[in-house]
Amino acid sequence: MPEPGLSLGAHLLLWVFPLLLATAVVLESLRGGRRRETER
Amino acid sequence: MTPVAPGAVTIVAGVMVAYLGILLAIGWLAARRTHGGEDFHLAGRSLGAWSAGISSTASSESGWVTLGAVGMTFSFGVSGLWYAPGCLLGYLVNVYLVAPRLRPLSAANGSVTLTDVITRRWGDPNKVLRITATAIVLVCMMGYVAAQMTATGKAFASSLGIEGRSGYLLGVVIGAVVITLVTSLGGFRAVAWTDLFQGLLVAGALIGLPLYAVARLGGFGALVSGLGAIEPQLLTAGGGRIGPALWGFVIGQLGIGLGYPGMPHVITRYMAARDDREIRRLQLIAMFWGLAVFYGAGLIGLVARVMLPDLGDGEQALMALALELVHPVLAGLMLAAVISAILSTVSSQLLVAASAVSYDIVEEALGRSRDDRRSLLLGRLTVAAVGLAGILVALSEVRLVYWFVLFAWSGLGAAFAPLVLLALARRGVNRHGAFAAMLTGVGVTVVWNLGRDPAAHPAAFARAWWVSLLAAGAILALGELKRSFAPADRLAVAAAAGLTVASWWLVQHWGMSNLYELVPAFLAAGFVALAVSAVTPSPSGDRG
Repeated sequence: MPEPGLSLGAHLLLWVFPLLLATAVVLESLRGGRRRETER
Repeated sequence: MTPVAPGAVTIVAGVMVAYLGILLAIGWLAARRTHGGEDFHLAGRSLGAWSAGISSTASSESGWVTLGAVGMTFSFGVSGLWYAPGCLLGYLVNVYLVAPRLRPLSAANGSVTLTDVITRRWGDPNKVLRITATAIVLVCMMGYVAAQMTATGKAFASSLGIEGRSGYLLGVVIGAVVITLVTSLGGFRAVAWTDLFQGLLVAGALIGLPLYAVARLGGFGALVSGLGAIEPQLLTAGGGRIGPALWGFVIGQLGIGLGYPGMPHVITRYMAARDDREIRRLQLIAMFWGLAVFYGAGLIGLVARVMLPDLGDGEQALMALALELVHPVLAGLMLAAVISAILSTVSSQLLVAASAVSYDIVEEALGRSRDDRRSLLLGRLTVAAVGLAGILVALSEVRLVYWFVLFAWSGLGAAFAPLVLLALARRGVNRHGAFAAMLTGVGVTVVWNLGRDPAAHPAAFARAWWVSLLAAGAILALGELKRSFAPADRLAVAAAAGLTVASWWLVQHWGMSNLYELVPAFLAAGFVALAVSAVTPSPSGDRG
């Protein structure tokens, strides 16, 4: 019998969601920083 | 909490004494920089990104994150993690939508509390909004403060290895007296600084311990295999739930985040930030703190399920793992982190409850003590009095007060979160709609909470519909007696009562009755705010 692994939903919940969120937050911060530089 | 082994008690007690000493030192430093009323209630709007960011997040999580969240994944496996996206979505709304708009708005109109934000936004000539908002804040916060002080007592008692009633009493007195003293002396600044220290301690514990534990277990592969061997459902996002039970659970967990914009002790941190630049830096700090803490807590529960399968109570997993795996000094720091999560919330809620009395009632509603030095003295005395009341409730364990805690998070969230979002959206609502929203938010929260598990409170749930109507009658009578109500306010009370009774019926006849009450209460409050505003004359000719 194969060993049970994480389901697709569990993969999304456990690491895909936090990874995407962290990436989006960092990108938004960089974008905001660049926008403020241009405004100056 | 898991008892500490006799040999480690002295070391853990030493760490605890050092921790309390640091809190007192921070309180003393903050007191030296606190000179007036706005300083006391809002740190003179001078917080930097780190103290505003970590303080806003640490004060919102309480002991729930180190105990309850850990217990969720211990019991339900990966499906217990749904709270994490729920809370993080709440953080997203708060730091990207609320904070950048609320700070300049509150600085421009001089708002000091959440009640101020609401009353100054829509006008409040008869003080209907101020009295309603203050009453909701006070009832919810007093319940919270007493419950958190009880948790403080229990945590201290077991961390110091003192069993029984005497240990609990000593724990309450030590923890609650220290935090009341710190808050009373240093006000908002002391609360924000101690939150920063405690928030970093919590994050350190919730990042370090699970990573070390996973490594000791043999890596993530071993963790997954271990969970699968215990029960394959622990590795799924649904945890074996199907149909309405699954959707009710998932939507309810995601809905936790709806409450964040309505938490007075959270959003005042944004109002206290120094400028817009600090708010932008705060966004990154708050989001990463949330990611680390929520996922760290979840991971601890999962690891503990594999490493400590005989642990009876999953909420003790953090402490049990720490005592099992690390040196007593580090275990002492972990215990301090558990207590930090509780105390950072106690101090914030203590200050909000005190501000509701000293600022919202005495200074604003009664128009007393406009002098800055008297305002500071009044604030300090009120914190001391509210703290003492909380300590007395915790010592005597008055059951009625703990009953309010059941509704505190969702009651505050449903009453205020839609209003804060609508206040910042700048259109669509007038003061009558805001009044209806606060009453509806609280009413639907209480009724839905009782209806989710009617067997737990059968008598209270059976009476809920006519008690709602009775409460509406009492509010109307009070308004008439004080001559405070316009016809539109009477309509607001009737609409709130109608929606509350409708939700009482709905929760019994709808398939998703296990849905967390904040979701329907938030939606009902937002709907009634817009509906009542649409059919009532806008007092200033401006509906937003």
